[in-house]
Amino acid sequence: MYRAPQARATGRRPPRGEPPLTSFYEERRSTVARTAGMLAPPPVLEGAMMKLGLLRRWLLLAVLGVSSAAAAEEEVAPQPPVRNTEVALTLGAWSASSAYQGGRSGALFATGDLEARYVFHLLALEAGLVTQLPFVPNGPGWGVSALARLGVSTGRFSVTAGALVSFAPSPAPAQVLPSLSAAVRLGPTVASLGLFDRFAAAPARLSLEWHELGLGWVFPLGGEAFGRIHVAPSWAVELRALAFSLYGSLTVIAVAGIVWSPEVTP
Amino acid sequence: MTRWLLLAVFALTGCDGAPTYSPGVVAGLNLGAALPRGFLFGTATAAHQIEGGESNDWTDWEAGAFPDGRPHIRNQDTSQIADGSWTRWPDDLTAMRHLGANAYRFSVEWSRLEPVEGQWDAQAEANYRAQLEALRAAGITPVVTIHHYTFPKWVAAKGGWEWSDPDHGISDAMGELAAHLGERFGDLVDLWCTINEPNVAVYEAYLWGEYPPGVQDIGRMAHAYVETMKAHAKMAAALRAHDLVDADGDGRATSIGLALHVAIFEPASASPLDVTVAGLTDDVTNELVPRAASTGRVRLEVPGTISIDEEVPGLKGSFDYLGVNYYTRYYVRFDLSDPALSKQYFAPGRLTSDLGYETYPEGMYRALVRMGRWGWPIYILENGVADATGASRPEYLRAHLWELERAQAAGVDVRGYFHWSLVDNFEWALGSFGRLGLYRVDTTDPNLVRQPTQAVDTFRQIAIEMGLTPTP
Repeated sequence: MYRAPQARATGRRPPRGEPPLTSFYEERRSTVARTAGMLAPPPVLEGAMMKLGLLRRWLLLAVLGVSSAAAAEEEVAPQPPVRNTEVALTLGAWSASSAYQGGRSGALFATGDLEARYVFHLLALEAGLVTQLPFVPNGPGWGVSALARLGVSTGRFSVTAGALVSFAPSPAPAQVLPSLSAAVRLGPTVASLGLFDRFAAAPARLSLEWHELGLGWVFPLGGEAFGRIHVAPSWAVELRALAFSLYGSLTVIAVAGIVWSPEVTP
Repeated sequence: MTRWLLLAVFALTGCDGAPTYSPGVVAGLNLGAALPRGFLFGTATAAHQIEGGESNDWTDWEAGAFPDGRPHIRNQDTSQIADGSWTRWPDDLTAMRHLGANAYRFSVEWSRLEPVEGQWDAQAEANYRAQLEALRAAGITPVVTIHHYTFPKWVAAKGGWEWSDPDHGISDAMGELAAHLGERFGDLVDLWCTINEPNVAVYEAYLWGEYPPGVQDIGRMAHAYVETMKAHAKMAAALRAHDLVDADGDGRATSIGLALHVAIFEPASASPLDVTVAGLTDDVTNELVPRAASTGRVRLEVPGTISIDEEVPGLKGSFDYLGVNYYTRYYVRFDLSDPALSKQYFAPGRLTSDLGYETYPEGMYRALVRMGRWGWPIYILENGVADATGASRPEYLRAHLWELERAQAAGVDVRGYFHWSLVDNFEWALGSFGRLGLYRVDTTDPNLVRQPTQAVDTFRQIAIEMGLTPTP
């Protein structure tokens, strides 16, 4: 059920003779519903949708629907988006190993992670490139993952969805996986969840952020911690560590880097 | 300082710091001199691959084709001639003596011994007995494999590894076979290998569908895997009950184990999915069997597909040794389109055999150190390379033996090395393509002459360093 948070926050009641606030939001919802395809889509979109196929059609409609809902919210009380424009470059170490009787077999990699987000009129575009280079030759090879997500970022929440493509020096084709990142503001805290969004690696995670610090749980058994220290207007140093175990495999990642956030001033 | 830093990083991350083989280091060494007295140094074969003239589930399979028309066997080769070792085994013995080998691993063919259920063939028994007596007379210790991939047709008709009649299933039948062999050959055999590569047997037959019965079903594979463990347990118990003669005077009538195909599995990349599927593949291939023999329970877990945790009576304590067949290393890549959720391939840019297998001697050390942690003595029951020219085999043999000696120096109790193979043979689905013999055999030659390859001299040199005496 869609709620009217700004109306509740301001306590404003509609004057006599004006339509109640609920009608306003119901009208907005009908716009959302129409845009999302529950009613007939606009003719200009119809031809394109037929070509996109069912899956892509629903993805597009979902983005449009959420975008429309976000626009409705922002009309009431605009505020800085939960996720804003920024570019982050981090470098560090990445360990991957699996267990056997009495030991582990694994390898250590250097990792570099470049991630960028651009937020424009609530639309958010995220892209990233993650690389791993083995420290020791003659073991597991290098890997490169590219990810792209599209969605919205409002003052209350952000959702981006897309795909992750991973390459490795093998005859096997590139791996394509879904990638999702979502966050919602809960007072001074931001709760976020993701699928293959952290370093294009963590299968699923749930995190809480408070100011510039964060802690999270990584599926099925693991956690992450991160923090930022502002060193200049729009610039921060980021430290991030993540470790999780998945059916006997263990991934440990620790990185440090720099973040440029043009909209943020410490 | 750097060394300590690396060690700390490895300890922290669980990395084992894979050793790197260097041909230059090995070139000047007298391999074999460091091996202990009593170390078994020999070759290995399997009945169906060398005897010729078999009639079992494989000979039926060899005549067939996959639904897409592709023949089951490359180039439609058959095992009908193979090396003709059913009658030419004295030639094999001559070759072994020329090598200076002090041990020989071979298998007996169930379909020859019991062609019809309950009817034992005395002539077949006599032939195997003659081989065993000749080996003993030549000072060559026999290691007898009871099951090496093939079933008699009557067993296959009952379901092979899926013959699961609760009153009398495949494990009972194999227990009876082992009892029979223990009674008939126990005075000549102490070292028994119950089953060859139970892991590969069920993968090929029930997961990849390349061996009979040609099934591709991970659930059926899992249940077949459990049956192999039940069969091993019953065979081990039967051998202990029926082979009561100490053939080699070491105070023990039997030493029982099986041959496990052990491979090195590397994830294709640091991707957690690659690492996870590599770990799961490694667990099912390398760990399941020793874990089952150590705990008495077969545990097999494939996420979202299989969850087996079953106690197998008699399994715990059934190993006197662990046999290891080591050949190569595989890279593993997560792949949703495959029934095993992964694809395996060989490292690009590395030295490979004719079959495309990577030559990775370091894997011998890694496999031995790792398997040594289970606590059983280890025999390398197979190790070899497909090379039609024979040019790479000497280096392959030396490199792997060097890694074995390193593992032994590191404390692993390795008691034998058996090179696969004595002679070129019928290489299952690959037919005559893979040439792995120390001796080349041309199946078009009516005399099936055993022709030495370059590695025969290498083998002989090592044997001499060990104090053995090859014949001229």
